[in-house]
Amino acid sequence: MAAPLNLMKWSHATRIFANKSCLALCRSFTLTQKHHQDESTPVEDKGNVQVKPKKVIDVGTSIRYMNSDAYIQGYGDKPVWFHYRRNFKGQYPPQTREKCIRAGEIATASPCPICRDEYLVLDATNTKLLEQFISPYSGEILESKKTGLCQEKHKKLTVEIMKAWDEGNLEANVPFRSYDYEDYKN
Amino acid sequence: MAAPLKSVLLIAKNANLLKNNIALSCFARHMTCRSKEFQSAHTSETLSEKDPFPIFSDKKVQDLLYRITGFDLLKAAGPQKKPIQAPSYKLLTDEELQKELHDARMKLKARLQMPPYMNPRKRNITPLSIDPDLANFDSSNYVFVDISFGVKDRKRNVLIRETDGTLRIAPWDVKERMNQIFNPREGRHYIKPKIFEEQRLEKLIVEKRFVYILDRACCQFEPDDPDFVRTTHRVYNAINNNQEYDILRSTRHFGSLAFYLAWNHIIDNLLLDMINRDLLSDAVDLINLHCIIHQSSPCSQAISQLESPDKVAIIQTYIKTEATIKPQLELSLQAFQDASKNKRKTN
Repeated sequence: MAAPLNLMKWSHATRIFANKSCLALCRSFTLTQKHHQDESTPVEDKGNVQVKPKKVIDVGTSIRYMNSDAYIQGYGDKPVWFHYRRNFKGQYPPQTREKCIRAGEIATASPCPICRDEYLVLDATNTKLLEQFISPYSGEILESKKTGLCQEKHKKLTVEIMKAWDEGNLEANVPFRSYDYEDYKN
Repeated sequence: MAAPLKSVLLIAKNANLLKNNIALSCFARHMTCRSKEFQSAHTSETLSEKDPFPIFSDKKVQDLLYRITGFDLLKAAGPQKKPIQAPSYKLLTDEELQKELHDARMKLKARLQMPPYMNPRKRNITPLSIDPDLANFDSSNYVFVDISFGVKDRKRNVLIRETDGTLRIAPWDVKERMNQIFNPREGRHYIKPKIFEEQRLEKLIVEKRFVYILDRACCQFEPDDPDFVRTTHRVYNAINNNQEYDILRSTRHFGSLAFYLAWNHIIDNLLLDMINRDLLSDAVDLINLHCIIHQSSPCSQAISQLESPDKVAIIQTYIKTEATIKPQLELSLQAFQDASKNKRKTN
């Protein structure tokens, strides 16, 4: 009896993870939406109103999210950037934008794959996320024109991947070193 | 002592090193604190140890180690991550194809070259000259590097003029960082990667990423660096305790592993693994290696007195004289003999 009970508990927890009321805590999607909200609520004296602190997701939560059912529901087994399409004129993609998030709010219409989901935290320990941005064939970091990351997040990604290589969380490419035994004879 | 010293300084003056002097002096503070660490780590080493490298680099031992490494084409030529290139197509005759295959095989064999097995190096402490007149000439140390063309990294002269006026040969860690500045090598980092810290190493060993650790260590350190010795010995011990020898087979590290085990009298588990995998000739090679390294051991004397040194006899002699897990070894040897008898019957 114990096993199905545990399973039920667990699936219940994941449902809560993906629940609407939980998502309502997240940052608002666009600035316009926020303006509308602001207009509908009565304007108070701004000097005295305490600004609600922005919700910051820590790495542990993000790693849990990467392993959760909610994540699989959202992305399947594809990398997080796989279904993202940029809207640009012509055949060749231009450089991606500088950043998607300004003053804590998403300021653009189609935020990049990392900015749009705040549970995706770039960190050297979050290997499951980082390895989606490394080519399985060459071991190099995929360029932002392919993944669609904004410049800010792409830079952060590069730094975190290099940290992960340094700390051994991800396997870096190791060049072959040959020895000349004569050098080591005294 | 004065003559070679002068020449090095002259080279330093002639070469465009003087330009770099100012840049180098800023490393000095960093350097002094690092070298202290080095010193403290080094005092714990036992000083009276035999040098293993002459035995390791001996032709006979090298051949033997290559033999027991094995050569699995799939493992050596398996998928490797490298920059993506367009494939190239060639039309070849049969002879040309054979030649290409042979060349490819030789290239792969060159990748099995073993990293030298050495003792951790010692620090040269005696100063070259002490000049009290030069004391307090500056607030930081000066490093002089010989960057003349064609000097090899290990033969490069690197000297330090310390703030108290002493001139001494630079400690190894400083020398290596200077080498990385003037003769950078791909895969070696100026600052030691965190992967070689104890905790992270432990994590990787639990995940059984042995080959990756060893490859990284080869790239980062010289083979006689205390860090290299510490890292590799740690990995070898982990492999020996968990009996995961097969992970290292057909890689460049298997020979060093076997040499390490033979050097420290702990070949029993590897021997058992070899007999269980029916690699009897490898097992004999391993015992021979043990005998070459420890020539005065009872096992090597007993084997030299054998009248008919066939494989089983040599292994039995070793089991009788030096093995610590006698029953298991005898059992698996017996199983091997029975199996080979059955095979002969069926044939």
